[in-house]
Amino acid sequence: MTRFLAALLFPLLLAGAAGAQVAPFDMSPERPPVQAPPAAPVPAQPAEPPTSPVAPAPPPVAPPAAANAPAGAYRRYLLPRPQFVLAGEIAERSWAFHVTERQAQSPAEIHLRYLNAVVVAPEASSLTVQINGISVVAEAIAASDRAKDLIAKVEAGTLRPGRNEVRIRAVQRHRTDCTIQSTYELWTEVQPAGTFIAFADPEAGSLSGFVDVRTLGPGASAQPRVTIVAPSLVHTDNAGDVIRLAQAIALQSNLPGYRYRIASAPAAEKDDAEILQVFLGAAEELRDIVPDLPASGPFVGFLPQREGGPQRLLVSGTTREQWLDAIERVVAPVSRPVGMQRATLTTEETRLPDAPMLFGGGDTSFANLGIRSEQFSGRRYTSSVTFGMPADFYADAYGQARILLDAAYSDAVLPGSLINIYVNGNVAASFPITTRRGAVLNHFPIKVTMRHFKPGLNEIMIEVNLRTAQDEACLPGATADTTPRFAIFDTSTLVVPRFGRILERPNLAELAGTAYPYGLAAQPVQVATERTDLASLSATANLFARMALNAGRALPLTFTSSINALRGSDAIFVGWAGGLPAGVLAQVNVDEAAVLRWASAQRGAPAASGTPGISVETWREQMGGGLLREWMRSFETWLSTTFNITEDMLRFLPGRDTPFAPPASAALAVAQGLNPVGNGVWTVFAAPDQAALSAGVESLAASDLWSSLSGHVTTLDRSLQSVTVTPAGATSFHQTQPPSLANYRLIAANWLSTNILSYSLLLVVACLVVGIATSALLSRFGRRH
Amino acid sequence: MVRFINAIVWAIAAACMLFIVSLPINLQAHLIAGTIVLAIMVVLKLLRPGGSWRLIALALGMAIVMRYVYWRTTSTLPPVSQLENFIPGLLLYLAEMYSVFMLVLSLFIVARPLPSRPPRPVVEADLPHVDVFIPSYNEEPKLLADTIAAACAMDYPAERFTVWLLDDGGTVQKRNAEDVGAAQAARVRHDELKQLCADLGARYLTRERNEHAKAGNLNNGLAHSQAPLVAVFDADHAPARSFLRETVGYFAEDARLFLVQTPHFFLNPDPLERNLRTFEKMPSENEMFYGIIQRGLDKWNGAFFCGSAAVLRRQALEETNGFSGISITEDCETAVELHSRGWNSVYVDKPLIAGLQPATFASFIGQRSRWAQGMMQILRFRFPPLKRGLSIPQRLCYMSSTLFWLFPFPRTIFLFAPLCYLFFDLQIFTASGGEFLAYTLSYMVVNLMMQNYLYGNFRWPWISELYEYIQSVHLLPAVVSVMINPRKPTFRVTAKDESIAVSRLSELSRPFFVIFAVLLLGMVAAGWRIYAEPYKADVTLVVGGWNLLNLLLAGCALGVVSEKRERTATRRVTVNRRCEFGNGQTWLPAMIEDVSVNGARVRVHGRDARELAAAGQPFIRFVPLSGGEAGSLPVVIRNQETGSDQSTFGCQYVRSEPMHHRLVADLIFANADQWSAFQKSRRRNPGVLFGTLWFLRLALFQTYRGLAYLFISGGSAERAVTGGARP
Repeated sequence: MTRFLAALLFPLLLAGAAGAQVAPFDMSPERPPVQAPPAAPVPAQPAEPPTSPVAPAPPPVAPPAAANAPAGAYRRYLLPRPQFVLAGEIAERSWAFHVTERQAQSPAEIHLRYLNAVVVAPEASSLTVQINGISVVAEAIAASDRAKDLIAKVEAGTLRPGRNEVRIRAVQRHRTDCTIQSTYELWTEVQPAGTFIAFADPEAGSLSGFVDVRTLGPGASAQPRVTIVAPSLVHTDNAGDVIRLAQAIALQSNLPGYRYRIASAPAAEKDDAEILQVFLGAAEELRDIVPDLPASGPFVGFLPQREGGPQRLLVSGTTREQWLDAIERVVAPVSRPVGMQRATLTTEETRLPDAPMLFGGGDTSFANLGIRSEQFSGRRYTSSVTFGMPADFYADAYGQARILLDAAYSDAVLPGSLINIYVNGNVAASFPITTRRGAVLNHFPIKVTMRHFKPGLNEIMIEVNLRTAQDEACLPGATADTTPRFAIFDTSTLVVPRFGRILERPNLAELAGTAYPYGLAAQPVQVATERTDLASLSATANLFARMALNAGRALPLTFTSSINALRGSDAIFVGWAGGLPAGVLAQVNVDEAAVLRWASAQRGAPAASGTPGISVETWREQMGGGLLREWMRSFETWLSTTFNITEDMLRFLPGRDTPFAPPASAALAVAQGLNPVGNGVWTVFAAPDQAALSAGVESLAASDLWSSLSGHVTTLDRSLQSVTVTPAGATSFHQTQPPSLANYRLIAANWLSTNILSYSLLLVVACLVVGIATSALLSRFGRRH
Repeated sequence: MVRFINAIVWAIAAACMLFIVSLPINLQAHLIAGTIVLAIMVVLKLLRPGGSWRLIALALGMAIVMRYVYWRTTSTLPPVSQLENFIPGLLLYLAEMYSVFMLVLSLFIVARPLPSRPPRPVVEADLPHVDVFIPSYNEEPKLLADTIAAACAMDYPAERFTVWLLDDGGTVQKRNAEDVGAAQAARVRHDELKQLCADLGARYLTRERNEHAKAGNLNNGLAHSQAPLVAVFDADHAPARSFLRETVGYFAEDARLFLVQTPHFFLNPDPLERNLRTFEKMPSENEMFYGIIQRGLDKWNGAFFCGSAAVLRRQALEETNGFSGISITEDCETAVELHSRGWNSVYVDKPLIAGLQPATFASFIGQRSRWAQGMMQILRFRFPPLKRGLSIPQRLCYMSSTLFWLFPFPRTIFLFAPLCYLFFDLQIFTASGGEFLAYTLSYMVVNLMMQNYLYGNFRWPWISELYEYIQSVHLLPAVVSVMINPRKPTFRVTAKDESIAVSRLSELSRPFFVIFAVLLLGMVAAGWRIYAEPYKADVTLVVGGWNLLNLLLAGCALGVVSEKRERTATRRVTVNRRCEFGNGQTWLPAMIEDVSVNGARVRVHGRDARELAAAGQPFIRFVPLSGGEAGSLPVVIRNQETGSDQSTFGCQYVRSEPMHHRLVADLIFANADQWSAFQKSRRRNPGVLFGTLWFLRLALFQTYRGLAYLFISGGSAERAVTGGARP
């Protein structure tokens, strides 16, 4: 009921926030009339909680006219995400970044460019930045009319060579409104292009060894590009090694946002987004394109930076063997041996702390998940934690995790206040505060459904909506009151019980989460693509770079063109519709004919005629129906709102999938299925043409969209901004754990929770047998006449 | 071997069921599976297939119950860190688990009750000698006379049985009591009963001291007699003529048989039946026990002695030195002891005695307190679950019979649990409204349906709960006291022949009104909460609904404690027997339509019946079923209806001679088939739905009646006060 209420409320809040940019009554007449600048990079959906898996497009960034960094200074860009919005009354991000020793010693300034919602009250709102725990920026938030550049000196000794931590925190209060809904209108956007550390030392930009890749940072562009120039690609077959190098760069930088391009020669025109150029090959091959190639190799390291150009990395040797060996040497330190279980997912370059892997059966304190004890005086407290789930997580239908909350709220808090828990952006629990007079919650259990848990990285957001009489009265200045109302303690724990563990195939979420099954491959992963086509190779490089990050290791790979060789192994197919080997699409249950139509439709050819919109359903809708139907419908609605019961739950077995036909609006389709032998997984990345393929895979792999991969088929639409998931119907299971009754029991619980009629049948049959056996027993035991 | 394989198969099937039930499936799966199971149960109930289908339906019900237990155990208990919630929450949980445990025990017992046994004919020459004991303490001689007369009139060779009146009211101790008045009364009683026995052909026996109450009295009887079989009848339990012939045959079949128990059939309603006017149409409370449970116990050789209407073997009793007397329920205690020594018992499912039960609420509670305390004493001193010599089924049987009397605890907890939330805002049951609906509602419905499945003909929906509630209020202190001080309770004879001359509130009614008022306040609190705290309306609605259920029970109980005035103490039994009506000289043909202990309705044919009745002392004359010559019974006409050529008279007996008692006994107690027919007429299953609706109506009406009595009695008390103040 409450859950239902919350679900009902949420869209309302969103709707309310849609008008957020309407300037409220302005209380500062001396300022020029508030007007959003025409090019104001307004976040498309400021009201959306920051957990939204689909980030809106990065806004166009005006050139940093106001940034008056000293000429020649080297900029280390800071923000790990192109879209960086601090929303709500309290928002905080922290992550780690690396600098070289030279940079650490250089005098430095931090530059911060931000824009905030007009409704944020400057006198009660602040933006703070800490580096390694030392405060470097503490500002009132006051940049609602145009983006503002903050420049602050970074004191000597603040930065340390190597790893550093930065924490950006926004505390925001509404100017006039005291409602909980109004807090969704509060946002501050920090813009990547104007946010960096500027090092005065002109030599700060000179990097040396391969490990310095991690000091590159995200770059000024929203889409930082890494180009790997390998002249040998033209005539030799070493695409696999090139992709290994891409993986090494990804793992070393640990940033998922890099877009990789593989080329046999440097691009003619300058690319502003390019952050790194890698030259790979034997010295003599490179001599023509790298004028300042060192005289003697083998050589792995950075070349001196050219004015206005990207950093240049050289991976070379006098012979082919030498530079191949060089690749293995840069891969080794960042890879992990196969078969070693990870304790954490490494996320610290985007978010601190690293997400611990939870395998169930234990509890993890909030301190370990990165939530600190804190007091809060506003009306909507939010905080989130991340953790990793294994690929064989199989408890989405029945599982229940618990949060044992240590918290307190003051007597000002009225009943009707809510503690909401979101898992990956979905409401998973809603617990009303019902007592007056305040309370101290001591390990108070909140049940959190595991329905939205998924393999790989997960995020749980805790949101506490606090109602108070003071806010209802909303006297002027009420929002600026700093009397704490709520406190949360880091002794709270997240308890994930033992859950069913078995792999479902197909399930793209396993690929997205931990690169399963390819991430565990000891043997080279089989890849089928057009090796000679650089666009396809670039797509493959992006794919593997992302998988390497998810798997935490560089994956070995080989290219194969014989489909027969792949029949009994895990394989990846990357190709455009016409270029995929015959039979592959059918194997992953995609309609081959439809894919060909898809390709031709994209090229502007008339789509094969179909009669969309005619179905029994639409006719049924048109017919309306009698009272009974009406009654049935309202009953259905009641069931689905109260118990989340839908008609498709009433099934004995998962339905057979019909072959998937990609819609014309899709730019890329990712489909997974069993291989013909049935002992492995084939994953196909297909697009209507080469251009769509490389653009699509690149967008998918370098953005948050990657984590939305799920089900049987996931398609990326032509805007490259959103995905559509087609869930898998019939799946097969693949055992990952040693056989144990306890695990089978949990697996059975999950399977039966999704195939409810089977459970009912099983229960009834068991009762039937017990009844008959009891009857037989009773006629043999005791007296009978 | 087949038995062994059968047991293994059953164990595997049960384990599978347990496994399936204990899967941590989600709410939706439970809801849908529960609905499907429920639907199948409804269909099975409507079709009423017999044999294994009954057990399949029960297994289905059990599956839902076990799912509830699983859910309740794993996800609803409040956290230990909140003691104020945890302690009441745990109590509620334990109360529910007790209920489930008792359900499982009763399922075991009544899974397949033995069908009624065919009578065992015995060759006339082999009929054993029987001593018939009628222990008495303070009953009226008139009541005893009927019983003795009926006992003496039993169809059995006269030289083979002796009727003993074991009088504890005329012992030497009583006759020489310090209190002169009491001593005089005892002496009068002694002489009167001695004479009565002599007149009726029974033997009078008393003893020195009143030691060990009823058990001591019976043992005194044993010491003074020697027949191999002993029949025991309570002072008000008059046997039918066929009693001995229906029972003694079993002893010849089984040398290790110590007991043949028969049901107790009552001619008068208990206070609930009388005040709620259900005696004529609803099966009596004890019919569930005698109609099903004793038959179920019998299957496991666990039928136990109920103090009266039974035949026992002297040899067995001698092994334990007679009847056991540690507890105040000597009957059950004796049975436990003998069962544990390898003796067997048999239950005959046919009413062969007719008796009286407590008429007022107070004496009803007194009787139940004795039973409850006695059973607690047995639990304490004999502990059947671990008693050596009992078979495992017998242990379970006795566990069920004794643990049953703990019901005041869970009943009280169920009563007050919702108030924890409504008044004090305690969260003793952590579940959302939806979960509560899916799990608890399905559990409750299944529970009702299983009860109806098991006992439907014998117990209507919600009546068990009502009986438990009305007893709990006064039984709780009784059970607690016996737990604290197990040797304290002493045997108190239950008064059964009272009558209610005026409508009044029972002297024990006050707590019921207080509880009703508190629950009503709870409803007010629930209403206020729904209005003031809409954010948790779902939980409030559920808890309020629960409280409403309690309120309905409590309201219905108000009717139970509002004692209705009643003209006749006992009900009439239809007999339709030929007789003659006259004044000693003139006799008219007549028909006795129905009889009670005190009178009969007689239809007289002939125009001058009225004159005849007015002329002088009227008589009814009939041939006793026990044989012999026609006897005349003097009557007083209480009312009459006159037709053209026939009149109907309501007559009251005038019993002045022993012969009159014999005739009355012959009229009422001669034919046990009448009682069976009466019982059958009430054994009707209204079903869960209609039973519930019927109960709802009953509860609303009785609430109104109870409140009306309260208002009237309050008013009359006030009047009495003002009246007294006036000069």
